[in-house]
Amino acid sequence: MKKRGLLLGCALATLLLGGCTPKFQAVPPEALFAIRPSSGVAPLNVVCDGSLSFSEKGKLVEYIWDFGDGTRALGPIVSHTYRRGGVYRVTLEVYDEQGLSSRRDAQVEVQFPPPAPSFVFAPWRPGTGETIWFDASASTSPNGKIVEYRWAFGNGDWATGEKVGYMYWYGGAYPVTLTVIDEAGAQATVTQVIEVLGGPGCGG
Amino acid sequence: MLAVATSGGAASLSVGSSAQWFLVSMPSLNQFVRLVNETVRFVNERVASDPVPLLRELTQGVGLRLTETFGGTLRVGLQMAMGNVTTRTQGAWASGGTSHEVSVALDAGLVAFMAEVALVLVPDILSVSISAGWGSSRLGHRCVFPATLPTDWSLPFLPKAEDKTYTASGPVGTASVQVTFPLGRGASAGFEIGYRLAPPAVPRVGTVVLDLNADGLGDPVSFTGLWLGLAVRMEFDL
Repeated sequence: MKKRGLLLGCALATLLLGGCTPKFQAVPPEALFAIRPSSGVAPLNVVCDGSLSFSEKGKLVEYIWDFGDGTRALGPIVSHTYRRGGVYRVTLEVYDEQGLSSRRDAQVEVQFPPPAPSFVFAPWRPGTGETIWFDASASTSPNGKIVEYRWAFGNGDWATGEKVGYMYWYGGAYPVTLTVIDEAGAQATVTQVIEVLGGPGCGG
Repeated sequence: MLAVATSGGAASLSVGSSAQWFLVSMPSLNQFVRLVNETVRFVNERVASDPVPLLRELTQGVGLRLTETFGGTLRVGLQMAMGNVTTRTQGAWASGGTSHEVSVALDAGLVAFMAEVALVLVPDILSVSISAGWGSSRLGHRCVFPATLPTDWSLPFLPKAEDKTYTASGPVGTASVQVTFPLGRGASAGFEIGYRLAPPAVPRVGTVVLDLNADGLGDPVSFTGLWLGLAVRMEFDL
């Protein structure tokens, strides 16, 4: 009789111990979201849909978004505009009714908008051996200052600087290309064709 | 030991087997199942092709138990138990002339060897038993999932493509009650109800731990839970 009691006691203990294992463990919620788009040119409006998040036990009561640029938002579906280029980490943190939380993050790549290169030159119809002055000071950039000006004169020669002078030894049409690079590293080019007359110019 | 084993009645050798249907609780793996399902559902709603079926959660499985005991009223012996829980889905999203194949399968199994002590409460009809031993569990994860979804949305979590079998081992214990009906010539058949205690263990492949939901924490697998079984037993007088 004693043995039977012991055996039944062991069986009961096993059952009780079993009941305390993972079945009743607190399972945190799962933060899951979709993002659109995940890359693009600034200003970039991004929609974040966190309604895919779920909790095993109870419903989600809080959605906290961190857009990685110092701004935050609340709610299952939010949108945010990135004004400047860069790589940002979007983080969603969700809380369930029991106060348990989890987070997940995604990367958003925002490219800087390109600068707007522009240049003028004089004289308008230069001749061979005549110095042509190129001026790119009208170029602008939404990302700050332009830090580099590169000129390609269409014959293999090149130069740098905001304002440069150059003379051609042979007449013809030359595509002159200006490339500007701003302080954010964004660059853009513009090309104009210059007609160089076969003889010396008239302006000098 | 032999004295204990044979005390309380004529000694006999009993060989039994039972087919089991069991319940399991695998919260971490089911968390992954739900993650996959949410992802699949999200894409299904945005792609104009046949939807990919969702995964079923891992809640129940089937198994087999083989026992061999000696003794009379109090019997001792060995037990081997096997169990398997599986879920899988397969399909494809067609978008822009491209087919994006989806195939996810989780296959969890347990093999355990245990020492068993059984007490015959009503000869040939009612007995209870407990057992303790060591078990090896495995988790096969086969996954093919598009790295880029066929939508203009992107998700930070996508199931990782892999074909791996993770393994773990640990102690296993059971307690069960068997009710059988004599069929004659030492044979009996009936049913059993039992509970298996297998503490959660995180399976590994080498040094890589199972982390399906990519949260940096291992995903434990446990075969703890209730089972129901159909049992057949043969008894031989010694």
